[in-house]
Amino acid sequence: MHCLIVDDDNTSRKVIESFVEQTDDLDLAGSFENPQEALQFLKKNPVDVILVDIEMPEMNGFDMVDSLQGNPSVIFITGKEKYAVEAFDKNAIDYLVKPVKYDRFINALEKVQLPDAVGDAKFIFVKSGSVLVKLDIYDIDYVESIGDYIGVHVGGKRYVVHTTMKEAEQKLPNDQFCRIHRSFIINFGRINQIEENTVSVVEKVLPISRTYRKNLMKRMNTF
Amino acid sequence: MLDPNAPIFEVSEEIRNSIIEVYLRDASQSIGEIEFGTIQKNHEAVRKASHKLKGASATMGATEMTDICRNMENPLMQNLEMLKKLKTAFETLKKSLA
Repeated sequence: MHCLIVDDDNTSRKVIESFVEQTDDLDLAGSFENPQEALQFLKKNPVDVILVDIEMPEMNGFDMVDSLQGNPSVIFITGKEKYAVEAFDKNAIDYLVKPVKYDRFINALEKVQLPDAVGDAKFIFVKSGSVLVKLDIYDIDYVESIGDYIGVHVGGKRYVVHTTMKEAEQKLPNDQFCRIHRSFIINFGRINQIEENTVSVVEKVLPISRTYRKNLMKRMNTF
Repeated sequence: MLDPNAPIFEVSEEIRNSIIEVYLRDASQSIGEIEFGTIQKNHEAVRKASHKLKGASATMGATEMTDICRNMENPLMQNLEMLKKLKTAFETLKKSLA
């Protein structure tokens, strides 16, 4: 998940940058003191979530959000509670009042919903050598990140594809697949067992990161 | 002197030290703006500078600075006595961080 920070206060901005740095599955696309510069950056670099202050001298956070192209999730981070109603009118997914603690920061990010672009596709083609192999999406056990590639695991075979985890996440149906870590997306139907920080998928034990654990557990059918 | 529950203590020591440097530099500038605005009776300038310093101070866990800045956001509290309190609190904080 890619994020952008906009805050004219250097101290607050640097602390949030550090929170991003220490969070799995969250990448800092940019960090700006000036909202106008942030808007210019966003024209060429879309992000999933924007963390933005409200009271800033060059342009306030509400005006910046009104000028956004695309539809990134917005989390306002500000020093005053009085803007909360207006913030939610702007479709903010959360509103954090400074000083922001790390737990509260994570809690806000868990509300970000990434786009589900799968449509009705039942199959997906992956390139294996010089041929395209047709795979039933629901046969995929899990997907792993391998640098600039992903590994698509199906029945003990691994197909290596040049794409990103973000794109894979968008192409796989979110009613059947779930991101559990920066490096792994799993098929719910292939889960054998879940422990505190790991999940067994087919015969492989995969890590669950803190960022994604709550979402995974929420989606499991448990007694 | 800093509140140990503040966000600044949720980052690594190395980063914390670099953020403290940034805070001290920016706070000094904000106090200069507050002083100039207070003397000129420019309430909006004082409010803006106080608001910014309040947010940074809260993030740092500098509670006395935060409280004084919160007061100085109110035009009725923007006076030389409050400015003196702010400068004293900042000097004390700097010494504690040295």
